[in-house]
Amino acid sequence: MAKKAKSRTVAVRLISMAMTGYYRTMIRPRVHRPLSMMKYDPVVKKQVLFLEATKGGKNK
Amino acid sequence: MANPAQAPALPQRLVNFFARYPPQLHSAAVRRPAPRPKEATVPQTPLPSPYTSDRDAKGAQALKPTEWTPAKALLVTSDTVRNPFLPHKRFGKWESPRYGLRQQADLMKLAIKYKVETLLPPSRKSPEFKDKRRQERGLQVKGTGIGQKVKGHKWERTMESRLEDRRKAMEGMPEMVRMWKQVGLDSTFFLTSLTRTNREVMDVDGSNGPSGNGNAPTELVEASFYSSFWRYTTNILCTIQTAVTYPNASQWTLTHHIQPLLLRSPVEKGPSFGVSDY
Repeated sequence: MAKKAKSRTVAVRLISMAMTGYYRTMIRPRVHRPLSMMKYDPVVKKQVLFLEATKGGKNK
Repeated sequence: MANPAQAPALPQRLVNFFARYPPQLHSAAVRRPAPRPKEATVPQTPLPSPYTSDRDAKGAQALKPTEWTPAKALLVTSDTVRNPFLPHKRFGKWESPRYGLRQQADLMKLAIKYKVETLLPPSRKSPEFKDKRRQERGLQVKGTGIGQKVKGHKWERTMESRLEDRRKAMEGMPEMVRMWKQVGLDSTFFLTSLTRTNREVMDVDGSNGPSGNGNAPTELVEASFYSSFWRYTTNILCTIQTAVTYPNASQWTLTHHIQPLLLRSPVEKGPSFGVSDY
């Protein structure tokens, strides 16, 4: 039986590089490059770098 | 000291007891002075903060059951005069107390009511013993005694280290953002690698920094090294540049041909591709 087709988009988690544990969840095309952006982190109350987590959630 | 036998105000139960065990021989006031092998058994040294992940920071150990304590010393009496409130070893066997704990408690409550509790023999039910033991053990809740600390929630124990991590991360944040803008949003490898090892990257002192993937020339790493962040970034830059310029380069090629090229043009400024198209 054929496998179910993968969806075109994936939900990714952008983790705050301030090591506060704060993250944002976004949706991007599967073939798109990993997301990264400057966003507000309410824990440190500043704009910090958010990077996409790797698949499998090994990074914390 | 009034003779209880001549005190008609005392209840009959106390009178009977004092008649059987005269306070001149048995009272806590005339008991043998207790030996004091140690002055203090509770630890007086300052304990480490409980707000760390340190396993030793959980407070003092509980008292050992066989350890000498000031409260237990109150129960030591002469061997020749038997204390009716305590077990007694006779012919190698232990005999139960003449008065059980419940009877002791009743007698003690009566004696306290008539203010003659010091005339009773030493007992576990005496206010003196209870006070001493309360000092040693606290409220029988773990961590509330003298020199003890409560274990606390996990967020309390790990708070110090987490704040330290956050502080280090925020110190390295401007550099990281600058690097991110330079190296570019196109670099998949940069992002995934940085994310995977972000904890190591942000480790400014470099004591347990990243091991790297071994692709960066040693001299280059040393040249641009002033933190783990830069060392790791250099690794990534080398890999990116190698992959772009020499897609099929091996380790040997990297070491012998690409390294001199990179050394000739330092990488601190970063590659030229970058953020303009984002």
